[in-house]
Amino acid sequence: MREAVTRRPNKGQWIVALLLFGLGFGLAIQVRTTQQDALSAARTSDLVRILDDLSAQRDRLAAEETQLRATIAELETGADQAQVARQASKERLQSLRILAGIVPVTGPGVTLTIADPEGVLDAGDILDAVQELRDAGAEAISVDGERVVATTAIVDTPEGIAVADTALTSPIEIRAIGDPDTLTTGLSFPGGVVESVREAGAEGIVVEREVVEIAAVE
Amino acid sequence: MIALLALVVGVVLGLVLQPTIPAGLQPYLPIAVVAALDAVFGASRALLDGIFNDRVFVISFIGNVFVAALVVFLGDQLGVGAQLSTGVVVVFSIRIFANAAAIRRHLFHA
Repeated sequence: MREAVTRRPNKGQWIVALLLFGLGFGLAIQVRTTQQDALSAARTSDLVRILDDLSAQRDRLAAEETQLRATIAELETGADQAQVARQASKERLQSLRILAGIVPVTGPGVTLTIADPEGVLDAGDILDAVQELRDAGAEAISVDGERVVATTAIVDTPEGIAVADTALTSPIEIRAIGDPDTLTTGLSFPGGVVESVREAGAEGIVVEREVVEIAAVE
Repeated sequence: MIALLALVVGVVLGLVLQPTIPAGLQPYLPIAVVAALDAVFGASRALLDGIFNDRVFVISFIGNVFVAALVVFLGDQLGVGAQLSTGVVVVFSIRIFANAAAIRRHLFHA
């Protein structure tokens, strides 16, 4: 071995050097190629197998994607339906609250002011007015500040007309929230409340208002 | 030693130049490299045994590479290319291990 190190390279050693150069060269190239693109060195049968594997994987993932999309669509419509149902429930709750009179209501409507200094009217007249307003689509009604709901008692007492145990004093202010035109027509048509009040001897004036405030039941 | 120098130069040039191998030769290059490695290990062992002969090395180097390429080529033509290629690599690996063990015994006496 020492000979090989100290002697001048002869022809044989040059050839050996050449071959080793080739080996180093080929080694470096092959390693590089594999690092950059392992597929280029693969055999045909390997490539076919890799292709089959990838195709199968692609199919599987496509099926999974379809399934997941279907689930998303289902959940979205489900969520929408729940949303719609929730909204409908909320609205129903609010209208029931208004009907029951437990919430104050504000909106466009009318006020019917009845001047009855001599007290010629009775509970029946007030009841007619309330009924007429309901028929005309009033959402909330109050008489002299007392909210009128289905259970409100409008009765005649020795002191006069009482609504929800409160005596009315002239002028009586009846408020209603709804479509102002319809409500006005409902009160003012021939043979309606305004006319019969006038015939009885009192005076009723209907005023359309943009904002009517009606309190809750006490 | 000029041989080792040549090896190093070859590796460096291969990394620096990065030539592209023609597609037809690409499957044979790794086989050829392994075959050549076997020849080199055999030569190293012979060197340590004191029986190194450069002619023997050159012939075994070229012979290994040629036969390996031939076997793989034949395998591709017959349709068992992957298997024969694996077989060739396995056989050369066994020989490399044997030579490496002999070298180890020389160097470390173990």
